[in-house]
Amino acid sequence: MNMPSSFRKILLAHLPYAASEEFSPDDDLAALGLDSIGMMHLLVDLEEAFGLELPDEVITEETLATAGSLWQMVSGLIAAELPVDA
Amino acid sequence: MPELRHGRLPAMPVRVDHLLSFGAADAPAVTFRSHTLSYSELRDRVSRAASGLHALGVQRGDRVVVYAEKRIETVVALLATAAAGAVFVPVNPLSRPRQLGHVLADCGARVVITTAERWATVRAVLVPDTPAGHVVLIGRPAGPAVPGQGPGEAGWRVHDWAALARAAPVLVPGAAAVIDQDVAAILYTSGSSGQPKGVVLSHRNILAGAASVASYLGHGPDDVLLAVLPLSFDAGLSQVTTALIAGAHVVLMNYLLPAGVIRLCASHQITGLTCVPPLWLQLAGPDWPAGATRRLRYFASTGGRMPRVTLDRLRGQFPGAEPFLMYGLTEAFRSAYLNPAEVDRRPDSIGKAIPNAEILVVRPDGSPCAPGEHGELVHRGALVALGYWNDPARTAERFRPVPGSAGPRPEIAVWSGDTVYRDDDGFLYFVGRTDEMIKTSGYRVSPAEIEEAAYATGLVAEAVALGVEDAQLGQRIVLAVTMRGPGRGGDELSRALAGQLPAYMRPQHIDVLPQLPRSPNGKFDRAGLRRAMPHWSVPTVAGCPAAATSEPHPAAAAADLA
Repeated sequence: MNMPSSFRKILLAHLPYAASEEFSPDDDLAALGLDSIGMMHLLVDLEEAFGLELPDEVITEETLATAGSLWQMVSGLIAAELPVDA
Repeated sequence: MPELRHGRLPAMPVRVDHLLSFGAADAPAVTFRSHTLSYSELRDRVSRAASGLHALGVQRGDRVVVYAEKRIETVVALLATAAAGAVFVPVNPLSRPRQLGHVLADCGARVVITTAERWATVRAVLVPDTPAGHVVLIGRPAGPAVPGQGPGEAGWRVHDWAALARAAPVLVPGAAAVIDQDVAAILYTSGSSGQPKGVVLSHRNILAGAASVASYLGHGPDDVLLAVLPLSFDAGLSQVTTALIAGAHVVLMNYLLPAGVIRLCASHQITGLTCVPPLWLQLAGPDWPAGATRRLRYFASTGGRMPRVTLDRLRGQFPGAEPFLMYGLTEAFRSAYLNPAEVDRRPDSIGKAIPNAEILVVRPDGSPCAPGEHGELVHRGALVALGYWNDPARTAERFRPVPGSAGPRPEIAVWSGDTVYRDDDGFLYFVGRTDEMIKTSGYRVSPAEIEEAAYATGLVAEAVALGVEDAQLGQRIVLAVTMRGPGRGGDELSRALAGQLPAYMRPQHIDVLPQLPRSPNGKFDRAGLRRAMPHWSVPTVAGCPAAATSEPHPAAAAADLA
C-alpha cells in the first residue's frame, strides 16, 4: 500500500508516539496514541488537505484502527470525488 | 500468585491479585479485541509475569509504572506487580512526557512497563542513574531504538515483555509476606493547581472497594462489563476489580467514538457500563440499536454531575437498565451512590455512602451539619487511602482524624474538600468543590446549578461554569459551552437562561467554543479551561459593567451579555 507523504505528515502530527512518518499499513493508531480528541483534529486536517467531507458512516473504529485502514478509507473517497474522465 | 496454583485458596483475599481466585477456571475473564483469556489463563499469565518481575530483582514495595493503552498485557502487568509484592502505578495512556516524567521521578520507579510505540517518549524522561532500573517493552521489538542512548538511560536496562511474561512460575518470596495494609498502588490525580499528586492505596482499600461496589451493583459471574474509563483512574481500575471479584468478564476498550462503545455493547452483550458525564453526553446522542442494550442491566455515571436531560435521554435509550449515579474521590477510592429506586424522587442526589463506608457532613469545626446545611463531606472506613506519596503537608491537610471520634487512638478520615448537604432523609447532594464555589454579589453559587440550567435549555451540548475575579461582584460568572447543532449562538442561550435563573446566578459572559478541554480521565478540565481563556481574568474597572470590558476570545464566537 502506497501512502502519500501528505497523508503520512498529517498522521504524524496527530500521533504522539509515532517516531517518524515511515508508517507501515498495520501500525495501530490507538497504540500510537490516537485518542478521541486527537481523532477529531486528525479528521478535520484530512478533510482540509484532501478537499473531502468525511461522512459519519465511514468514521468507524475499523477505519480508524491502523494507518492502512485509514488511508484505504481516505483514498477511496478521493477516488470517488475524481471526475470520471480524469 | 503461586499459592493459588496449588489449589489452596487463601481464606480471604490479601493482595489485589487474589481477586483472580473468584472466577471459574473456564469462565472468560478479560477480552481485548478478538482475544479473550479465561480465569485460569489469566492466573497463569499473572504468575509468570510476577516471576519475571521477581527475576529482574523487583522487591516488595518497589514501584512499577505501567504506561500503556488498555490491552490484555496492561491488566496482566498491574496484577503481576501485585503478585510480586510490588506497587503498581498506572499512568494515564494519554499523559504527555512532562506528566510521565513527574510520575517516574516522584514515585521513584524501579521498573517501567510500556509499549514499543511509547519507548521514545519514556526514554526521554527516565530518571538518570536509577540503580538497577528496568524498562519492559510490550509489542514488536523497537529495532535499533532499543540500545540505550537517551539522556536518562544510564543504569536502565531494556527487556522484552514477551520473554518476561514467559518465565516459569516460581514462589515469589517477598509477596507471601505482604499483608492487606501494605501499599498496592499509587494513582496520580490532578488537582486544580500544581503537579499531580500520588494517592497511595493499600491492598485493603482496593479489595474493600471492589467488594463494596460489586455488591451494590449486583455483579455476578454472568456479567459482562465494558471498561471504557482509563485504568489509571479510580473508577476505571474499579471496572476491572469489580468484575474480577464477581468472577465476571471485563471487555477492554480504548475510547475513540461513541459508535465503538455501541458496537462492543452489541457484540459482547454488555450488562454494565460506567462512564463519566462528558462521555455520557456523547453516548446519549446517537440512537442505540435494541441489540446493543438487550442485556444491559445498569448504567452508571461518576466523576461529576450528570445533567438531568442526559439522564432522562439515557433512561429512554436503555429502558431495561437501572441508572446508578455515583460519587467518588480517589482519596477514598469510591464513596457514595444513589439507589436506582430513588432516581425519580431525587435525581440530583449523589445518594448515600457505599457499603462499609460512612459519610459525615460537618462544619469547619467538625460538628455535624443539620439537614439542608452545607458542610464538608468527610469519608471514613476501609476505603480511606494511606495518604499522598512523598507529600506529608498535603497528606496532613486532607487526611485528618474523624471528627468527634471517641476511640483510644485517632482514626483517620478523608476530608474531601467537597461541599455537600443532606436532605431530611439523609440523602446527599453535591454542591461543589469547596475551591470551585462561585462567590458573587454576596451569594455562594454552585457551578453545577448554572450548568444544569444551561443543559435544561436544550441548547447546549456541554457546559462549564466558573467564577472569575471581579472588582465589583467579588467574582463574576462565566459560562463556556458547546452548542447542540450549528448556527446556535450565545444570545439565544442567554435569553433562555434569563427565564431560568435569578439575576445573580446568570452568567455575565458566555463563550461558545468548538469543544471543552478534558482532563486525561475524560472529565471537564476546569483549570485548563481557565488557562485557555485569559480574557476571563481581565480585571474589571469599577463603574463599568463586567461584560463590557471582556474581550471576545479570538478562537470563539463570544456572546457578550450585559
